[in-house]
Amino acid sequence: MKKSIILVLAIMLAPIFSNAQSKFERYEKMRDVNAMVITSNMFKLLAEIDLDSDDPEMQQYINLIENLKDIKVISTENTSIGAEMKKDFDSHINSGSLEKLMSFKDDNKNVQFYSKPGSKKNFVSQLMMLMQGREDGKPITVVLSITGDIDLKEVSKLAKDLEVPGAEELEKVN
Amino acid sequence: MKKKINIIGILVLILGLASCTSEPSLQSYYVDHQDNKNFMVLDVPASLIVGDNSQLPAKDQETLKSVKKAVVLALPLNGENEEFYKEERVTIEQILENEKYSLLMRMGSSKSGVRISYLGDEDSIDEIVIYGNDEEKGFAVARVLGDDMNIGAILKLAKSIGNGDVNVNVNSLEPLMDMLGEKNDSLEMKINKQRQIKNGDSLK
Repeated sequence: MKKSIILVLAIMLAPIFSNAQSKFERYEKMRDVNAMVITSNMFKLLAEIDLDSDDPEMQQYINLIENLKDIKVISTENTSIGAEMKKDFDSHINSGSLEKLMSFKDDNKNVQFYSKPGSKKNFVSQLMMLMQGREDGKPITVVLSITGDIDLKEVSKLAKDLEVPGAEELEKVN
Repeated sequence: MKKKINIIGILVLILGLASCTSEPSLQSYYVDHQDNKNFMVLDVPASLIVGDNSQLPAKDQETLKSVKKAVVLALPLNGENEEFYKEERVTIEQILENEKYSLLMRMGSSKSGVRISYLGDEDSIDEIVIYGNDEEKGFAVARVLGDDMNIGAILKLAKSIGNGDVNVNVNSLEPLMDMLGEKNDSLEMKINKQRQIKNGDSLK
């Protein structure tokens, strides 16, 4: 009996969760929007590569990668799409119970980080970033989302390996 | 007579494939389109891409051997086939959306982009599918076929290729690189060259 109630609840709630996802997915189909998605399949395989590494620092990095679910980045130079992205980002933050991690301004970029609490201290289950500003003289808006079991102390190392706009801002997360 | 049997054989094969899976697969897409004049087909045996690597550790040699060949199907835009390209692009992207192709990563925009996925279990991969699209040049799908390919090991090898440890016949890769970029006539020449090499290869 109990089980069936949970099941019904799960089915009822499923669209709500998938809704939050599609909020950003629709951008991927737009012209003027660049998207990058890396899935858990990739992370599992990547983690295999240097599995036999003795370097403890490398090992920690592998741990981080192994526990990632996905990384999604969308970016645009189109200001009106950018404004829409910001609106969706804000409403996602409000509805998805994300907490502000940090925000800063440098050069002419405005960067905000939000996170969802994770399994233990210093770990988060989702990290989202919104960056707005100018890059190479062009307006740019970037939304980045990382999900999984993320060690905040390690995430800055991702910045080097992710070659997408806004990735370098990850370095400042600590 | 022999030809007739061949045709019947192919028909049976197609029917067999069609009956066991109702959803379109890349395999059937290849079969359906390889004779279409808008498409280019490139069959690249691994031996053509990879040169002599006897100095590599045995483990790496084994990994290289697990890759059998790459089959590339490309639709280059030639100024007349834009409508056709648009339709086929939708079809091929729908096929790749199928969840049996586990997505590794994709990037780019609707104008141009790349998508890499695989078929099989994560530690014994039968096929790696690389799809690239550019609205000005056309699209290409490469199926990298092999037995129990360990993608982790392949990625590691890819790293050593970057370091120059693995002997790669760069010349043989050129037609692949040019596939979408070059004019059609030079491409055809290259493909013919490929075929000759391939025939030579099978004569061995």
